Amino acid sequence: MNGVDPAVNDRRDQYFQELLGAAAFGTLSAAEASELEGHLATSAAARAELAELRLIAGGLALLSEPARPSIDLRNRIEHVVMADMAWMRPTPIGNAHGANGDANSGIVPLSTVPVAGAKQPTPLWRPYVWAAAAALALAVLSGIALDRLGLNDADSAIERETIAFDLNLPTPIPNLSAELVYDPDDQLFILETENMPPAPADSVYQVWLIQDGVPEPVGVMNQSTFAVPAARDAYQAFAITVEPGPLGSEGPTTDPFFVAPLIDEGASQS
Amino acid sequence: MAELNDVDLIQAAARGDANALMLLYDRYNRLAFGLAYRILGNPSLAEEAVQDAYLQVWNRASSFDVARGSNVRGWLMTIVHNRSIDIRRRDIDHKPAHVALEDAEHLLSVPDVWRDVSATLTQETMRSAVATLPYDQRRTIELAFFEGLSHGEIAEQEDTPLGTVKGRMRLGLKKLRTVLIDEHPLLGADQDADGRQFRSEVV
Repeated sequence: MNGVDPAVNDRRDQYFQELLGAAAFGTLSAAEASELEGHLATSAAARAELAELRLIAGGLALLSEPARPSIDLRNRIEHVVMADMAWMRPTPIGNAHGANGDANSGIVPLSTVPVAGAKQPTPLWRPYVWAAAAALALAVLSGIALDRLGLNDADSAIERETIAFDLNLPTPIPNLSAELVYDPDDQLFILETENMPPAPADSVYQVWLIQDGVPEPVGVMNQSTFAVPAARDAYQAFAITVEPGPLGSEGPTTDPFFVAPLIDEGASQS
Repeated sequence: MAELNDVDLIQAAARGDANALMLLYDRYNRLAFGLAYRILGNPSLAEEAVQDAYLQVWNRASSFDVARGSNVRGWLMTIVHNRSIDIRRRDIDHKPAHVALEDAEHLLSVPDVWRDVSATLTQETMRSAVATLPYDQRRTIELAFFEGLSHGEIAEQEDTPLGTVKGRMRLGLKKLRTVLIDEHPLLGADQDADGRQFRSEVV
């Protein structure tokens, strides 16, 4: 017998029609997606229909009542984008355009100014990190840790990890608060601060990620929020020092006043 | 820059202009957040979805192809929707993630007529169109869209045969398509009985 039973073809067409509906809503299983992709590759009609259905599905978004997110959301997105730009387009030392960026570039001011430079071993760093980790546990247990910013609601950042840190300031700063979180989806550290005073004259706050005991410069903190994309597991600590401005240093020249150990407690004690 | 249209902005974002992305945020953040909040019912998770979506737009702006007939608002809302559903299934429903048709994206091209329809859709138009659906069809579509349920999951939740759910979905979408085209001021008079054939000059 030659050819395919038309009834079989009809059932098959109907089956794919049904999958197109699910595809428009993005509710396909892996097996269904694989099947449908094969069908789409050979059927222009199916492709056109799916494109239409997707637009209809997109229109369903309009059924939602528009609502205003928190003001911080805009800041967070902007800072992540800036960090991404800074990360992708590092500004060499001695050839920087300053903290406010190039006025003619059409780009909004950078929140971070990356500092390129070779890693410089800092012999005292590793012990400091371990000491900070130990001190931190005590600080948290005794309630000395800083207040967290109310940037999100109380049940926010379910998937984001809030990272504890140790802060050593020469003098107390009234109402200072900070929160360091790590977003594993975007592999991004985000530090939010409130009431952080400007760095001393001719100085900047410079952020470092410590890898194998070596501080790696990741940017200068010019605003209350700092974000840097990095794989958390690759580093031992996140730290901030005061360095000569406006570009910071290739290696830290002062002790860090902010240290967040990135190694879990069990590992650090073993 | 504020006077630029959406396509101008997405193309500027593709060239690395962060201002352009933030202008798109300013235009659509309330719509995006409203959608994410409707799906997730939690403001923090909704903000996470919107943030992820905009970062995805930032990273994929160069893949937006105006020649394929999509519009920026619809594209953005699709990304917000997909991200919201991902988060809902992961954090709220604890169900396996759905699978996106990534490999087929480049194959899809919107028929000319739908460029006009989708670009000019309003909340009122969409609500009116959905209101024409029988309750069962409307509920099935809303469960799929706002709760991210598959056919099988809807059938189970609604205690309805799977074939019935599929039929409701298919018929509901087909009717929506027809109604939306009927309602479009430029296109309604030119469709055929299936609502799919139009004069070629209407674009």
